[in-house]
Amino acid sequence: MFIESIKKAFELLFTFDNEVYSIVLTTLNITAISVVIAGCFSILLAAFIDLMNPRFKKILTAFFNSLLAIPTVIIGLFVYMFISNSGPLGDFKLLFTPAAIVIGQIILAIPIITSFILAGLSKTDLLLHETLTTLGAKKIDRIKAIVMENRILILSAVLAGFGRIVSELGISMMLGGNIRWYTRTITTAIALETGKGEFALALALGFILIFLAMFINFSAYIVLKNDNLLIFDIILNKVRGKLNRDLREHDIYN
Amino acid sequence: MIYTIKKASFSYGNHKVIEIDSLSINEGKIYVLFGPNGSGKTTLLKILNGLLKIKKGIINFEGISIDADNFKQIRNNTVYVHQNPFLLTGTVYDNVAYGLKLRKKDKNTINKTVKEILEFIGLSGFENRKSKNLSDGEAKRVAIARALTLSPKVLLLDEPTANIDRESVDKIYGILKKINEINKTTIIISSHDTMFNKKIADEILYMENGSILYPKPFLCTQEKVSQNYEGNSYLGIIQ
Repeated sequence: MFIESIKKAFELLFTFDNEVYSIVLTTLNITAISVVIAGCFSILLAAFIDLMNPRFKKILTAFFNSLLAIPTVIIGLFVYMFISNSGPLGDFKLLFTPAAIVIGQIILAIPIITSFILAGLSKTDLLLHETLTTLGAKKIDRIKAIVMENRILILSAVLAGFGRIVSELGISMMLGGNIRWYTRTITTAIALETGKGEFALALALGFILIFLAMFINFSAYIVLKNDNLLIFDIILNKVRGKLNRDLREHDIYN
Repeated sequence: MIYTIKKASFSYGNHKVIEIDSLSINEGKIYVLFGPNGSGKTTLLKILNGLLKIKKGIINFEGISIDADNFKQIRNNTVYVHQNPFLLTGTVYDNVAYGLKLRKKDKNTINKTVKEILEFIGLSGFENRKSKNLSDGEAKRVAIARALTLSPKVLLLDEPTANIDRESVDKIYGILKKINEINKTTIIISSHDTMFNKKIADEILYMENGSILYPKPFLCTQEKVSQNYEGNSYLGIIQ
């Protein structure tokens, strides 16, 4: 049965089975939205905490570190209470939608990304802070500079957040409801199919999940090892190039 | 007097690092803080820049007593350059223009100022060089250029000649002398380089255990230093 399941799993993968890839796309969509929102918020939050008085900074760092231990089902439970029909946000009809999973995953990812960034920032050279102060940088300028100077650290923190939420089960199951073609994610599908004894689909999705996790970790490794922001620079230059082209076109037409 | 300090002290926890009874700094002169490691030179420079606040005593800057409410008076008129300056990621232009961008200067003014300053410090054509690819000597000059764009009344330099070759030391000497002569900028330098100190200082302030050993025989004029200079010995300077 084991060999048979593996064979069937590869068949599903290489015949581009609709259901498998729908589940993968749903997972990637939800996770990408969650990580982008959580990442933006966490970066600002971490930079802001980093500039705080050392006593508050210590307390908040400890607070975010302790949030890392909260199980996903507890986050699922609290969000469920808020968005269920009888909850304060019940009117928005969010329960069992991808948006509900996004909310839960954002709450899960924020402490992870924030703590990771704060741990790195605590090692940031005092020189940077003093240089910014002596040059007259205001708080917002300092946050910008701290983010820019620590972008490799931030990138790896966001990747770590992505790795965590792409593989979580509790929130997706409780808030998404595991609805086929709608809120079924890789982890909820694996749990369901395993329960049914249908190992082929579960294995196929498992392989994809392992591939995703390895790909993310490998990307983080490459970025950190070589201090290599080539991809980041290329994207940035492309965006700059497009902006300049847009501006030029804007100038031409106006 | 640009600075007058009275009965000032600063400590890290219980460890007292600065204890100055009285110190006056004249406008437009070049001062060198000289003394063994741990004597409080860097801390004093940071206090003079407002990066650190004294726990006790009085600091007057241009006759105004500096306290928590008007600390910006010092910050806006002085710039501190670290021993190993932190250059921001990006190009030399990005670094030199940084302070001007913070002050919301227009692009033409920034370009003109950066060009002039880079020419002044002998780094014309370095605008697009990545800051991480600079030598230590070039990095120090870029940090000085970055400070100069802000036209400070007081330039505070921590070991500007440490870890760089003699040629770069001479270049930095030339730059600092010119700034002092042309702009009448007060320059306060902490340095162990006795040859450099001897050449550049209008006055040398000898520090030990957080105090400035003052007035005599430890406050030396350049003439005294020249008479007594004997190689790298501290005693050559202070006796």
